[in-house]
Amino acid sequence: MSKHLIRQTDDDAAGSRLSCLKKKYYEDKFLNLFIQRARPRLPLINIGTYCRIKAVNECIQDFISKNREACAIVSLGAGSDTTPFHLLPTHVNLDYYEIDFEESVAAKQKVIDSNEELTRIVSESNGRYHLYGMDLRKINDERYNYHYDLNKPTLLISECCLCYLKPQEADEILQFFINKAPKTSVVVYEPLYLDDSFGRVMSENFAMRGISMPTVEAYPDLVSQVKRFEHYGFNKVIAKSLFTYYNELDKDDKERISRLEFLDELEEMILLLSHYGIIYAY
Amino acid sequence: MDSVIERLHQGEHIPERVVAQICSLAEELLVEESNIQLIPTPVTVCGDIHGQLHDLFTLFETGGACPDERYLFLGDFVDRGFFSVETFLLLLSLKVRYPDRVYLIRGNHESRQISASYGFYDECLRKYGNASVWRMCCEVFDHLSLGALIGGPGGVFCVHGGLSPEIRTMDEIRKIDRKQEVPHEGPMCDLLWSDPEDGYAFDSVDWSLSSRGAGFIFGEAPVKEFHQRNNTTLIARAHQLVVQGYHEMFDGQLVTVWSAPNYCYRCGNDAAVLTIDDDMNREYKVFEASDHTKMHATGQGRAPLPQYFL
Repeated sequence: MSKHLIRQTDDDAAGSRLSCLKKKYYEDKFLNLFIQRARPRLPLINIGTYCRIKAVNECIQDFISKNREACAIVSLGAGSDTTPFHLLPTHVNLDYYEIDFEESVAAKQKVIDSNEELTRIVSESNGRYHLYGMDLRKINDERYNYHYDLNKPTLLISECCLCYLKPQEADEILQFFINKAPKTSVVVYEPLYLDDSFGRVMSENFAMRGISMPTVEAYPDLVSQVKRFEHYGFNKVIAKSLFTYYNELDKDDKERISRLEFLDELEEMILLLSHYGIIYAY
Repeated sequence: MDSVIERLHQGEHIPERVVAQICSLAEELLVEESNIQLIPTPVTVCGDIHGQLHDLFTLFETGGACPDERYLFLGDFVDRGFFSVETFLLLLSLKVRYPDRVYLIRGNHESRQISASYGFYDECLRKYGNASVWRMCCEVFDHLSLGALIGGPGGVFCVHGGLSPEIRTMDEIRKIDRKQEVPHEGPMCDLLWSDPEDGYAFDSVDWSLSSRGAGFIFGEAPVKEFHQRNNTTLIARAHQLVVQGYHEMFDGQLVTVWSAPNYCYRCGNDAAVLTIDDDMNREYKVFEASDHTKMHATGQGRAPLPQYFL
């Protein structure tokens, strides 16, 4: 897949987050700095986006709470994610690495430089925030000899990032960081089940945008995702679909989001959310 | 009217003044209809269409041409698909041309609030440059009846969504003042929004709130009770996507019929229609989507691709 198309997926994701934010599913005071306008998404997309954000955040919180003395997060294909700016000021022992294409990183740096609060957060982090520009597929290229201090518990995050790569490329990237960080955890969010009738249409629709997901073909379901990470030697691998995650939302929260919009497309939502998985390995 | 029907089949644009004529003729017909229409057998019952015009053509190929066959459409003609205007106009034109061969009842999307946010309003603006076609269609929506009874006593009660805890008899439905926007609660809202649920724990509760934000979820007991009280044997309803196209529940006392294949050009599901014959036998006819790649290729490139999480 071309760099341009992969970068577009971040614009789409940011648009979904803004739509979700505008409908008051969640709060993020920094998001508006990165994206100002987006067409409203369907309620099912807003709910799914909310679940995705919350699920990844819960993994991050779990990881940090277990490693308060010192830890690092490496976000692969971070795009316009605002998580580091929320975490760095309150977690003084956290190092945060964000990696994305050079163009995406430059755009992000520009936003940081043009905003007083972000500039202050980054400068007060005393070098704990790192924004690295590269094509992850060239992770072992000497040109990208970036510094990583991962001799501490490290969480790798891939939110719809590795899925766009070939299985061997994704493996090479995971292996790179697992080698660097002796105590690694991973959270991965990506599509599943592209081989059933809904999944086939999903693949076709992705293909029409020029998007392919070879890694999903290699790990088509939750069982194979669990095996994938057991293979790297993780003791515990928790894998659930986004729909399971939605079902397990705290009752009050589920009621709160059900009041935000009419959800007419309930069955469609079940199908869509069942086709994404959150995998947390540690 | 024949030429309008032909032009819609050819995918031609129908001018605003013609739309006005169709809507006004349709309203004259619909205003006379009872809240529950009595429909003779044989008849073919169809579920949600949602602006998937080309799949509606396939539906007629599957169930038999109109007016050769009699049709009942259970609502949700508009929204989500890219051809809501044409779909609704085709069904209305057929209704006006063959009033005894085509029956239309109201779905929850035949409402101002819902169709303003799920695509129909935007489509009207895009195709006509103003909202007057949308407004005219919404006026027609207010005239659509709420249900149907196929085959008289012992027959099939038809509705878009389902039952309401506030309704015990069909006579109570007949008394509703339906000529209004779909309310947010109450019996008229429930008929258009409610869903049945299998295996629901009904020892003490027959009804629960729907997570759709309107209507109720009901179990087998209210269905059984409705049949006994109203001398009906089947509830035929639409409203919920079922991937096989149809789904019977409660030992065949209720069926969901879904007629939008590959719903939203996303779901990969089959569609079905249900034919009820003179002996009240049920025959399901399943059909697939017209080539959806072609759909996008034929001038609908402007329409956005379905949304996912990227």
